[in-house]
Amino acid sequence: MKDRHIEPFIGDPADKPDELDLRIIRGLKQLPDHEPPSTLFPSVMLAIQTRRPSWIKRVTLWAQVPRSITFTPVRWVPAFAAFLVVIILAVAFLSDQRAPENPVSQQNLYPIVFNLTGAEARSVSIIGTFNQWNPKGYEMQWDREKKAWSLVIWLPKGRHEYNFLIDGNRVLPDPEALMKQDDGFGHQNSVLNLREENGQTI
Amino acid sequence: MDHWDDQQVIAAILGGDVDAYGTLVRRYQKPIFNLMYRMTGSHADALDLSQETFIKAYDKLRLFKTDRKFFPWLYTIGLNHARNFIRHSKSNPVSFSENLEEDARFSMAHGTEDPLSTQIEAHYLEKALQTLPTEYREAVLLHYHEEFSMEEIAEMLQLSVSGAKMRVHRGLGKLREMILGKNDER
Repeated sequence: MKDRHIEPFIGDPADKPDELDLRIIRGLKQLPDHEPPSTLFPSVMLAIQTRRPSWIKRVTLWAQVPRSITFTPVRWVPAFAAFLVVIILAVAFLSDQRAPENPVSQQNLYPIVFNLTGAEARSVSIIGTFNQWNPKGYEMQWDREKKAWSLVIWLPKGRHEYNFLIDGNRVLPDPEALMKQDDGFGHQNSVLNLREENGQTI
Repeated sequence: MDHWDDQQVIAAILGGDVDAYGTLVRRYQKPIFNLMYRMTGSHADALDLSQETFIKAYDKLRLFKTDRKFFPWLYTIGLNHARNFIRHSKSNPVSFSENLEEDARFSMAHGTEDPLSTQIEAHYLEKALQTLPTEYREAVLLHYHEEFSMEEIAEMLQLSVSGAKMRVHRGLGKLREMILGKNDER
């Protein structure tokens, strides 16, 4: 606060400061400051410690205070690189998880066309061992040319059991299946043995 | 935290860091204590009033506008607190003339006829300040000792800038009259 402009006198220019005035001003400026007692600081801090607000109030106060964020691009390069790596890994992982839904990308899957003709139904789905008997996502489409319910499913080689689910509540074995097997509950499952030399349509 | 500016420290305090207030107390305890000492003339009263001023400022800190300077705000709280104390104080202030003989002896002991030409100049001024009416004492101390601008003084004393200038000018004139009057008495 030193070296600031001090106005020695204000008012009528005729009221010019004389030597005594200037010495009073100099004396005021140079008045010796007293050192505060050493007890002042601890007594203040002790007093305000007892006024410490609750943590809820402190969090509220903290949230109400505007804050500035300093952005230094160079410092953020490692963090940004790490973020990119995480994103790439996450995308790769998710792609891997979704792979079975995109069989074209798989080398050991074969497109099998399921058809159902002669069934009076509002909707038809396929349930089987390949979808844990869950019809969701395996709804067949009505093919007007073939006059049949139809769906292509990519399946790996091996033995698959399946049935059609009519209108969501009636199970019907594939009438054109070459093999059928008792399901142990008094009904039959259609069986598809998929080998490399087998045809693609059943 | 000592290198932080006042605004940063205040943000930390308002964010819940109570201990950060210590930075402001360390930074301003000396001018606040001296303000109180010069307003009351008592070491013990100055200590109490300084402590109370800092506590009061802490309690009001949420009301402080962070785009303003902290020290004038704190000083204003201190001034108001000192005024209240003086207003309610039952002790009679010591007058300049009552201590005349003591001062005169002091002056003579230093072998000078001009009380403002020696090291007792500060002593005379301190004595004169203590008998100066409060409103003038505040104004001359703020301007000539603490070196606040007229605009800051006007804000702190709730005056117009021209009113602050007049207050300082008259305060200085009264100091001059006291000292000259004292010389005449000698």
